[in-house]
Amino acid sequence: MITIENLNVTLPSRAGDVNILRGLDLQVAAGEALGLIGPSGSGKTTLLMVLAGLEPATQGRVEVAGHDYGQMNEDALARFRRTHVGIVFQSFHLVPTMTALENVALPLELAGQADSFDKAAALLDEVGLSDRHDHYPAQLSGGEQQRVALARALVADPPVLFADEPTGNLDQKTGQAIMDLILGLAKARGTTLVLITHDASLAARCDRTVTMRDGRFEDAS
Amino acid sequence: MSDENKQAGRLGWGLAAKLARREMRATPDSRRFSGFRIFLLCLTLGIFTIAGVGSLSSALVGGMVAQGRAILGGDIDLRLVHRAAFDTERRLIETLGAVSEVATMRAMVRVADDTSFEETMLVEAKAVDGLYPLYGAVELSGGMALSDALVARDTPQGKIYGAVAEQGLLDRLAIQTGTRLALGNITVELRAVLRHEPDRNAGGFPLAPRLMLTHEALIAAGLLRPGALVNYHYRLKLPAGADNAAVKARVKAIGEAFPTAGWRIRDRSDASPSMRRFIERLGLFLTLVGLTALVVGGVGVGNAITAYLQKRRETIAVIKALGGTGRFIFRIYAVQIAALSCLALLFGLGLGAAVPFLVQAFVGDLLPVKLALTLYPEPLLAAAGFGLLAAAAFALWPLGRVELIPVTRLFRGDTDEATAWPAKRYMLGIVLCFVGLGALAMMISERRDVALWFAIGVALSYLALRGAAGLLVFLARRAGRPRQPEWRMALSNITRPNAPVRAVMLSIGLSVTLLSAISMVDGNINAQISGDLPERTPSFFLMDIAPDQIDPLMTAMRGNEKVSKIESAPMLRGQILSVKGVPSAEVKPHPDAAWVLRGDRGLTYAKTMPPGASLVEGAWWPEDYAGPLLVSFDADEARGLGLAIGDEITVNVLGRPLTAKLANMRVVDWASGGMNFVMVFSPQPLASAPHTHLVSMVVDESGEAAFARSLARDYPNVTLIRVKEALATMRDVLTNLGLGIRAMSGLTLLAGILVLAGAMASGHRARVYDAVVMKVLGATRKRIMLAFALEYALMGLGAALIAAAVGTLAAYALITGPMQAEFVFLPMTLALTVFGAVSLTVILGLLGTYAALGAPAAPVLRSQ
Repeated sequence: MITIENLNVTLPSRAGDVNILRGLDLQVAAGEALGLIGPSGSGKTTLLMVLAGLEPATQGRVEVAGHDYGQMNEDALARFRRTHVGIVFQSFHLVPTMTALENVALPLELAGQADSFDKAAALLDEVGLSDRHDHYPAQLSGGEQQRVALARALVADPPVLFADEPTGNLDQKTGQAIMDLILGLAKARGTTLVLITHDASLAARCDRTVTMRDGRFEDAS
Repeated sequence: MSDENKQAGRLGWGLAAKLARREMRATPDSRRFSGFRIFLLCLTLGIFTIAGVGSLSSALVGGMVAQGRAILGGDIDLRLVHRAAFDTERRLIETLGAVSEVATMRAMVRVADDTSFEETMLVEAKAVDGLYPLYGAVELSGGMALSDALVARDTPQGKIYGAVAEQGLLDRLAIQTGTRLALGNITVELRAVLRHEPDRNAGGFPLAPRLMLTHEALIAAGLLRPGALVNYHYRLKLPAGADNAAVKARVKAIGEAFPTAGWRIRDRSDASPSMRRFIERLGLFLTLVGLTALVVGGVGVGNAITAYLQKRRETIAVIKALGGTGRFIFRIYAVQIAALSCLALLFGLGLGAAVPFLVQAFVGDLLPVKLALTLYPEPLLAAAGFGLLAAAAFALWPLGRVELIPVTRLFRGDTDEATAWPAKRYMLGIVLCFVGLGALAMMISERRDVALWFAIGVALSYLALRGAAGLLVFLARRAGRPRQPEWRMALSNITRPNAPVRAVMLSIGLSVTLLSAISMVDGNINAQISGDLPERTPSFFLMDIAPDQIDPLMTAMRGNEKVSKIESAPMLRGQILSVKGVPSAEVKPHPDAAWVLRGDRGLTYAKTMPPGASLVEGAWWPEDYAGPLLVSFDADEARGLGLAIGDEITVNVLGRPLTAKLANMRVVDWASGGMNFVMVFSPQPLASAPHTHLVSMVVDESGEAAFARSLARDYPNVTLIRVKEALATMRDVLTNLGLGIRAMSGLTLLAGILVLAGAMASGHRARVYDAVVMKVLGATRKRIMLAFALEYALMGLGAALIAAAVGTLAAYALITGPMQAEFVFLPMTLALTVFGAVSLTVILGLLGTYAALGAPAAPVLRSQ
């Protein structure tokens, strides 16, 4: 499902170019859950951005769901994300001016699906927010916001789900519940999951764990 | 259609509008239109200004048409200069309808008891008959009827004629009604004050108060000598129900019946072309001022959108992360901006359309005509066009840059503004909008060149101020790090990302450019007419001097040591009938020369070239020249009429068409205020025609009173015009006009203030944080305030200096160009403008940041 070969990302900075990712190679099978751990600054988030098509690779090949990113421009990548990729952020990143239902329906609307609100409502029910459809993000708790974000990431039924520290802004109990939900939904739908986390015990719940340090993979388990 | 294309098609305007609506609807933590108040205010103000000025000007012109009969004094007005209508002419006119005859001239009056001729005064005399006024009503003090007021009475002292006069005459001579005045050979008794004269605005610019009397009285006064400057009006009242087509047909018939009579014929549809032209020109000028307000407001529009999009960065990035393309995101926000612009348009047009109604309700009495109150679609459409183009022009830059917001912001939280330019299609859109603004200004403008120069001026000012903003940032960076923390903070505030330098300098700069240009022009006009006149400018003009009076008068004046710089010229009035064989009405002159063809002009004849003039083309005729009629033309006006040496013009003088060949062109210094004529003819046959002489001279102040007395005693028919008084009358009018223009430029300044306020608001959070950190580190509020004041003073000074320079340049071009006057540099006026602009920027800046000083530290620090 995901293939990266000799992936390098170099970002310019005032102090000179910084090599964030250095020659990464990785394969993730369809339906597999991969945990990506590593200290701050190790390049986890940059890798996720490259995988989501939000950051271009400086060098190397990235292929997700059979699409080679090297052949796609920004708009093609945007269209690809609509149907193939779901993302869950640490800070939820819900649109503050839209209700929970509208936030979840947004990817389907962008994909031009007619029954977007019905599907969004069903998924909101599935993540346990049946009584929160018309609430705005500001009216929801952190855990509820992340449930909305998860529903939004999965509503278009993407083959790949990226989750960047999805429990980082939540207390332990709520975080646990969100993780159960992510892993459960991904497994149930056969979605390939790439989970970024600081927490080794959370990563251990995935099928496989990869540790990053200084832009390189340390080992694979 | 491929899958990709289908999908791209789905992200169309419909979905964009849907998402836009979601964004704009009120959410629990946002207020509707929050951040868009400045946007709405700026755009509404600009559109309101243009719509209001246009509607008012249309309502005035509409009012003139509606009341055309009263203003004109009849359905048709036929005017002759110098002579009354011949019997044959009069008889033909009378077959068309009821005819009322009115004669007007300038004359001198004094209090009859004042046998020492202590005080004489210029009046605009008007003789009327029993039918006057054909339309409208004369209003006299005490409700007296005009016929009663003007009736002549035989008294033991002789025949006393009745008269009425405007209050100004009574005030100047310090007299009451009932006072008897000497006018030429007769005595008139002022029976009432003339409160309203329906046809007062039909004529030209009045130099003196009106004195109304009967024809019998004016004839008895002995002022109607051959060649005297008298205008004879024959006003026709057509049968009831005569429509405009019938009126036009009559006008045409009269013109054809007496093709060479020299009639100036006007009908009720354009009763006072000079006033209409004045209103239209003033309307255009004020529209251009309004356009400046719109451009200044446009800066605010751009800032408001930038600030709004800044707040929406996360939403934009999320939509991009979810698969929204850059173009789609542009559409979402373009829809929102378009909706808000339409709202501003509605407000602006609604308020603008209400202007004539409000003006009529509150200051209707001060207007020369009653406004024709209705909706005028033309100015409203123009205002809508200006408003939408300006909104688009200033919105496209920040909207176009939306595409450039990278999704990585979500992860990195960077706040640096993208410095890249928007895509080419947006840049093209911006250019097209500005070109559209210029084109629309030219389209609605009778004087396209004026609109074009205005557009160029605004564009140059804009670029100069943007450049100056960049220079200020560059200099602030180069200034290093001063030791005083206030200076350091002021400079770093100027150089930091998202600093309001450009917004402040553009908004203050553009409005101050306009203000300094207007102040300079106003100051120059004042300097020209309030006594700072060039020394060669005469202090008196004497008119209507009969041929037999000129020699003794000149001799007397030359013998008077208080009188100097005497110039004299024969004076007639004539109308150009054709240029190079083309009738005047069909000639298409340069706009600056069009006035020469309008109505009648003063003309003279001379053997030798007038002093002070210089030939630029052709040759002057020999002193003893007796051949066919030749004419010397002012060079600018001749070229404006398309004349070349040898071309012919035909002029009507005293009902006789005279064709003259252009012998030469000369440069006339109109700014001298002296005796200048556009056309100077070779002497014959004009010298044999009945005419009068015009004399100008400088009279020493100590000798003025005695000179006026002797003139009134020895030459009662000669009209004396004191240049100072005439200019004072003009100044009164110009002062009122100046107030109106300043009020309009005040709106531009208001737009500038709004933009500044918007810039303050968008940078408010950063300022609160700065102030809190400074306070935490031990800075007093005074020191923080000083740092802010320094920052604003630097920006204000930069903007004001550029604005003063550009404004002065514009004023110089206006005064030395179209106004044909000498430019006087007024450093004090400019210094005051610069000082005012800097003070305003600092005060507004401090007012905007005052709240930041009072912010409690803890919540701010916790929230960071």
